[in-house]
Amino acid sequence: MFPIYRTIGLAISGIVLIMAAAAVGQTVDSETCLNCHEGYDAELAATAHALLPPPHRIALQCASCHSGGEQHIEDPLPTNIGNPAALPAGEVATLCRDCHVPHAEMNTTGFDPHAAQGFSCLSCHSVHQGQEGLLLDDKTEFCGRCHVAVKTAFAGRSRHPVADGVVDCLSCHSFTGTTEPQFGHGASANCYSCHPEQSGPFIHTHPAAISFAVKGGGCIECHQPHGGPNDRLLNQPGSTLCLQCHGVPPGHRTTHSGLGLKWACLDCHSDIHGSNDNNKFLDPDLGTILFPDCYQSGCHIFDD
Amino acid sequence: MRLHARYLMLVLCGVLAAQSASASPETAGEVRLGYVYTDEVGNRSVYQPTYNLYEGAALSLRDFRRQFTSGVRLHADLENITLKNRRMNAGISRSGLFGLDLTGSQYRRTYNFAGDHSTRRDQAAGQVWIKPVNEIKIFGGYGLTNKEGNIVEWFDPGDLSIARATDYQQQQYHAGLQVNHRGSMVRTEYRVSDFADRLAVANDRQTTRFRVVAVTPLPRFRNIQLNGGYQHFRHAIDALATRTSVNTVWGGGTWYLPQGYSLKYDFIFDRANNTGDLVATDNITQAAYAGKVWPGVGGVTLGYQLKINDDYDDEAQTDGFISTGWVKPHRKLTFKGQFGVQREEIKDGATLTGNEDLTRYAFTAAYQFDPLTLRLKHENKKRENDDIGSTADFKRLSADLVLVHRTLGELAGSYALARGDYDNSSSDRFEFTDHMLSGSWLSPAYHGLRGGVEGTYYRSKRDLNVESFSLRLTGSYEFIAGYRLGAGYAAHNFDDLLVNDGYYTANIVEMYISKSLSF
Repeated sequence: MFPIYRTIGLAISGIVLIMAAAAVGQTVDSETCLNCHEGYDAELAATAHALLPPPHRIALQCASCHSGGEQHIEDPLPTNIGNPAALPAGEVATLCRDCHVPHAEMNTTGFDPHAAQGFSCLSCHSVHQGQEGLLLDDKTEFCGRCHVAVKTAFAGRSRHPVADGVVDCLSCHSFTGTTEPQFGHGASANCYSCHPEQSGPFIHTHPAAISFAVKGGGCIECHQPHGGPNDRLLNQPGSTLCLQCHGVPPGHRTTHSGLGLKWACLDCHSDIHGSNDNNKFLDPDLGTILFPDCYQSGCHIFDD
Repeated sequence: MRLHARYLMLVLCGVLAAQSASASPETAGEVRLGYVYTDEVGNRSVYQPTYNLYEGAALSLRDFRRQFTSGVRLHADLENITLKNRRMNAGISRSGLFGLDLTGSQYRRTYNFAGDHSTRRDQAAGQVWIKPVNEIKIFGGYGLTNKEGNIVEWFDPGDLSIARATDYQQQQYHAGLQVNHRGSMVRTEYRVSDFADRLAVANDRQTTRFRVVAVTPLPRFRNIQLNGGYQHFRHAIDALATRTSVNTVWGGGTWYLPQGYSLKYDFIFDRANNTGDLVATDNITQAAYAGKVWPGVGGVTLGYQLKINDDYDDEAQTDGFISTGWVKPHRKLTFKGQFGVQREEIKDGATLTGNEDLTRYAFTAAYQFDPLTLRLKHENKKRENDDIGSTADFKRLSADLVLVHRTLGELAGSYALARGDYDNSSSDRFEFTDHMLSGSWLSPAYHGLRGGVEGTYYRSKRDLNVESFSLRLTGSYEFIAGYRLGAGYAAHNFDDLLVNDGYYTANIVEMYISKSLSF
């Protein structure tokens, strides 16, 4: 038989150990903070960081983010409490990482100019209050605060419909929640999700239109994704865009060419992203569509 | 009509829910009922900002939010639900337990002078996630896109209008699982996209993507972060037996050293196979960065990148260098800058564009003192392909200010000057100089009155000769607490002075009455 005094001894030891462990991990509870910092609980209540008591799954306390509470109670100087806003970007990301693991990875994967220029999670998010996603401002307007030139591009003749609310910056730019590389094949895959009809795969592909086989290739090789003065978000108007890489082939320097009076390269090479019919990316119905006009317009007669 | 009734019911439910919670400070939002008048003259296809405008009665539920004491939160933003440009977002969530988001939007794109050739895109999507325990997240979603209409082929030469019908549906599904534990994470997800062309079944295609990613601090060395992943991507048209498949593997790590130093290394290996002209390609990228941060004072990062693009016939190697930094000589003053160069060299075979040099730099100075923020930015991007005599040189100088003042209201203004010079391979040049001036002012509330004005002026010169402006005036009056009458007038004008029919003018008037749901 197991001696009773040994059982009692073990139980007491266990209780003492548990209490000791609890004492070591004890932090100032939020009620104590709210005695002085009135109203913060109501402010947080409208956010995902609400100070919900147990048994709620996320039982956040002020001390979850603000360290050094005991010292602050003894001497309530602002410098005696941990303030994430005063931390370097990397340390803020480390603090937020315990809960927001995927989001913190923007600092650890690839080169992110935001992280490199001292922007932290708190540069864009407000922990205590904010818009959707705790952003400091509406997500459509938000990025434009710093990227003013990009914001003005959306006022261009052709543009992605950000102002219409159909897409926003984060529809294409995944800053958080992604650890996969944002280049290589990934860049054009962004475009394909909304423009599948241009995505191929084609038997004959315009090399500039795909990002995996040609370095620097992909949709943005010819298109300005934000907006601009040219039709269909093109970098240059008409045929001048094509002439960046291509010379004018022999026989094309006629009034039909983009350098002539009327016709642009893309009027005939209309399947410019790729073709399953021919490797010149010509409209397969070109003869039917175009030739009647050659005669109807009076420039040519049937004997030509 | 039935659809409208459904949306009206949805708004009504939202309003009733808000009213029943009128004593709760966690309810906010606005219901707005108004009418939009449009008056357009000119070429409907040249000015995209008004493509998606419709005339008629507009009902909206804006920025509706409700927080229950249980922690459950509702949100809804239902814009113009009685018009054909409706845009909706609604959801319910509870932190750490579940979330459901529904979105929908409609967009019209116009292609010719009269506006009778256009396409409409309707999108709807839903996403859900649940966390059965704190460490596990299961997520999934479905999206549906329908697009139909007529697209006019490119530049519509003269009076000839070559329109091509388009009519397709795309369905997207995804599902995944994420496991977190003390700063470590593994996430796996599977995405499928089915494209069905209603006009040509042979164009039907399917895209599948499987991805797994992992991030973790190194055990016992939590200042070292490791990450890696694998992705298989397959894009195929079965009827034509065309297929692209890509396998990508990546990984790397960041080492946060004492005193603000950090080191980072990344690699990506990407192998693509294709059944078309471009058979197979390997892409290998390696990059290393070193950084130092002086908290609150400044930081600098230097990096080197090596890329190899090998399609077996041709091989290109690219060396890149990047540097970026910021400094705060004063708490109100910040300078930022970045500079990068990249040189691509054809090591084997021959490519159309040959060797390529890229240079890019940008500098920003910002002065921030309450209530004013001033910022100046200069950037330059240059590409040179000496083998074919092609260059692109783009420069932009921009300045902006923001003033937020209790008695003066919110004032913002910006000016951007952009200049582009392109030397094309056929010795033709393309040049432009763009000026963009924009500004807005929103008055503070004064006896229930509020007004605002915003405008943009754009001018493009040299090889382009384009001028456009938009002006928007708004005003509203709170005649009873929580009830507001408002009106807005917007004028849009566009002129492409090199094209005979490249002109467009629109006058848009909107009047509304709104009820605030903030109690």
